[in-house]
Amino acid sequence: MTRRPTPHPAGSPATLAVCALALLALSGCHNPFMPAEAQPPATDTGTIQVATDYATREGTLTTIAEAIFAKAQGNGQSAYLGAFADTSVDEFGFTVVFDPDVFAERTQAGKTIPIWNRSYESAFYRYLFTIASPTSEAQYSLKWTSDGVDDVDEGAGVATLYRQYEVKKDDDTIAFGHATLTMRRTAPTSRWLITHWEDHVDAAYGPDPPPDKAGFRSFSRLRIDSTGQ
Amino acid sequence: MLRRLARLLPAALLLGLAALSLTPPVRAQTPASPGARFAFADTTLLRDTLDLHFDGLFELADSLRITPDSLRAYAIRYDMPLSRLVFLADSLGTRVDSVGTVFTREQFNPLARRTDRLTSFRYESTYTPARQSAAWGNSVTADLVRGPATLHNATVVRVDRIIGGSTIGFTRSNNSSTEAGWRFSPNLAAGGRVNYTRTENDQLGSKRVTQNTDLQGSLRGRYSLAPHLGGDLNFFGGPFNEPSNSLSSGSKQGIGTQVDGRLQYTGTSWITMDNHGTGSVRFGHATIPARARFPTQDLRYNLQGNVSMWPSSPASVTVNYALNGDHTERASTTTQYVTGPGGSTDVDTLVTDRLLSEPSGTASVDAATQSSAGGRGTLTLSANLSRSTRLLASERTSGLVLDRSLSRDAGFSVDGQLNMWGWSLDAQFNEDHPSDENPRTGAVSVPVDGGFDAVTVDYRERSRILNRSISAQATRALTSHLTFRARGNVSLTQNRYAVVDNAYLAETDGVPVKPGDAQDNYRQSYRIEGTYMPSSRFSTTVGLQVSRVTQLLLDALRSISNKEDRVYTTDWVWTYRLFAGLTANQRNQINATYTNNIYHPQNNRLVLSYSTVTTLNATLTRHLTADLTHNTIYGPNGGYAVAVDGLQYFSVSDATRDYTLSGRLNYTPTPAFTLTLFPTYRANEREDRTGGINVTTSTRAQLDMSAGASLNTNVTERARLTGSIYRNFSSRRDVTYRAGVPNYQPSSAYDYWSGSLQLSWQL
Repeated sequence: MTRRPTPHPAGSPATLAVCALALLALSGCHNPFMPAEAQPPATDTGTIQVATDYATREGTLTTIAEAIFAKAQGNGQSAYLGAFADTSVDEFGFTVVFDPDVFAERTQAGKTIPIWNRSYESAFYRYLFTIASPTSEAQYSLKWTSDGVDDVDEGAGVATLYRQYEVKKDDDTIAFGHATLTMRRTAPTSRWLITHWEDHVDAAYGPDPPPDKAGFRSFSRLRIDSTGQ
Repeated sequence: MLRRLARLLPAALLLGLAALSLTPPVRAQTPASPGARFAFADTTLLRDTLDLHFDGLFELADSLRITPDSLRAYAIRYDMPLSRLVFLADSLGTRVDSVGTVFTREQFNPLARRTDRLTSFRYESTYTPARQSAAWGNSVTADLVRGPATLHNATVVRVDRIIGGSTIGFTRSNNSSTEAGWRFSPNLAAGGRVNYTRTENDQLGSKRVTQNTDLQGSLRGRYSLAPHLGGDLNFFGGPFNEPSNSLSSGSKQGIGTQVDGRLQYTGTSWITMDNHGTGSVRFGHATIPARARFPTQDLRYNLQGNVSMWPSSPASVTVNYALNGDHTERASTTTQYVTGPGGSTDVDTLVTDRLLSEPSGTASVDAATQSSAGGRGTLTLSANLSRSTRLLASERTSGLVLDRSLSRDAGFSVDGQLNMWGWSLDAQFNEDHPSDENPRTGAVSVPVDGGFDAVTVDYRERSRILNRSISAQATRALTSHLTFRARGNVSLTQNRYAVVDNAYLAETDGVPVKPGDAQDNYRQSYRIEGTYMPSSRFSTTVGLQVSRVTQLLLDALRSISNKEDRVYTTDWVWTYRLFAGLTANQRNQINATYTNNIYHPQNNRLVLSYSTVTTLNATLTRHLTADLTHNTIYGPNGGYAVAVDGLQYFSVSDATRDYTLSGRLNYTPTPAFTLTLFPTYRANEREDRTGGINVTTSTRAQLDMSAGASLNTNVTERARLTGSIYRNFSSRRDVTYRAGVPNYQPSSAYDYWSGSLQLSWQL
């Protein structure tokens, strides 16, 4: 005995499909999933185009150094910021821990200690080129030096790096200190980004170096000062 | 005439779209969905040990529009089979996720009693140890019903012990709620309730105690305005005492009333309506001890409901709405930093007490219509609109500032299912336009004397997001042993930002602040797979998935980072039941991610991954089962180098090797008692190949072991002991290499108890 198929209104599924397609067609004839056209990278002032390289940990640190050399020209700022994790793009965020002595000294000086974010870091990058009587001819450089402690590969794309940093304007030091950097490799793009910067002053100069050693202020001090608060 | 009709066409189109754009009824679908659509439902869920079965989980979750894991979690949390859970949700007129909340609330309702005499008493004690904390909770629930009189008490005492470094902190909380009621008629009851809460927090030698006692009278009623139109209305009122919840805010005392009610209409078969709402009004005063006292007025309301039309017809329509507002006042002490007179650099502080009102509100409406065609297909169109505002006080150095945030959302979706000529087809289209406007703080570089000065400014920024996606899936049983499935999806997310005020420009000499980076994210993927199942003992699936993911920053200053990933994944899965008590299955996957840096092709990368997971499930005896899983992943990655022939070749820069071996051994001598052992061993190795040879840079070895017992047994006729307790052990050793020389890091090891044991006793 053969089971008789259940009758159904002829053409109904096809009608539904046509209705669905018609509704989709209301969005217009252009491709509704086409992303916008991005502007080509800035080449204004005919200056430096920092070749970004975040594929390795050292590559990321070198990119930061080259962005400092670019003096906020060309793609310097985007290359610098690209080295720090961005929660709107990456799966991690970026945090900064100030040196506790600088934190106390700046608090005592009536400064507001901000909760650091990329917006502040962006302003800090530009601020670096405004201190110590800047001139348009000045050359800036950043030198990373191993801090005498081996880097730790935590596994699973996480590493801790111990570095001494020194920023120079021509031959004058304008920033000096030590950083414990946590770097993570993003899963989809395999970029090594700085997710955490724990800053330390150099014991020889302290949180508030005397005027003749003002160039040896740490990033903690300069970051707080850069907010203007 | 035609011209007049043409003018009406856009309005008619909009009305038509609005009528089509509605959230489907909450009622579950009939279980007539064809099996092919859910052919890959994982039956391992049925192995659950809680005596709860999840037959039809995926079909039910699909029709209720919640995720299967959420529905399963509700069933476990409320300890109810799925069919019972859905039946209760339908009969209570509530969502599936609110069944437990409604049950708890109705415990206090004398009108909900169906017996004239009841005496019940239930005691539960729960101990929950963990690595850095332990909690012990005791609860008592007592009910007494004698004719029209009811008495209900629920008391919970909980102690949390938290270990932080070398210190131990305690949190003790006592909550007691007692309600007595008298039922005058089946539709009217009155009563009173006392809620007592006390929390002691002892951290780092600092003890903080908050205590609150609420006394409220209650009046509960049920009413009927017309046949099939009625509901219930409840009033609560009395003094309130709200302790301070932070060091800078004040406490509140006063008198208040709360009302909640429901209006339902179930008169005809073509329309049903369900509306419910709550509201509260409070008058009192807020006090900051030894500083200030302010009179306060609070108002809160929440209305929500739905209208369902033609629920049983081939074309149903449902409209849901929600409206809520909060106008609560609070006293707060703020500190402002002020500079000394005459440009002095001295900084002084100014402490101010204020009464703050931070009103907030949300309004939303969503609607759906579902059409079905002879059981062969369904088409659901839905749309949603929402708007919410919030005023938040934030403390800055310049004093207290009130910031308003505003969020809007509008979207629609089309969801179709079709069964035709042996094919099962699903397709979805979604478009959503959320936007919000929020206060922001940012820095602007202002030219000063040939240099730049960083000026921090506060401004408002509006973000607009577009989420658009389309996906489709087709399944067909080609033969009785062979099934084919294909699916694809395309999505686009656009983020746009704009600064919407210009008051800050006075501080920056007209230099504008840069808004957030506009960006577009595009993703497309398709997957085809075939499953061959010659018998119930063996099945194998082969699949190929190809994806393209593009992240585009539109601004010239950021676009240098733009890139595109092309991901190719192929996998092969097989399952074979070797003997009645031994099943083996294996998943092999190869994954290749080609990253194309659009403006820096010299930085292009390739990340490869080869993984194999093998699992053996064995039932050794009636009381002994064992599972063994071996997982291996090899992941080389690198860039491209130009060879002498001028072509670019993949050059591995580093590689990772990860191995995991884990097992599970269960011995169940009786159904009430199970002994379990979970050993897991992990080994990881990283290699550097930039020099052309393999150089190990780090290795890690880790052993985790958990052993314990699970209980589910009656201790006496009225007492039951349930839960599990485990002893956990973990040990890890890392080795880093420098120039090939190993540097052994100190090994770490720890052990602790974990689990949860519950003793319940019922009179």
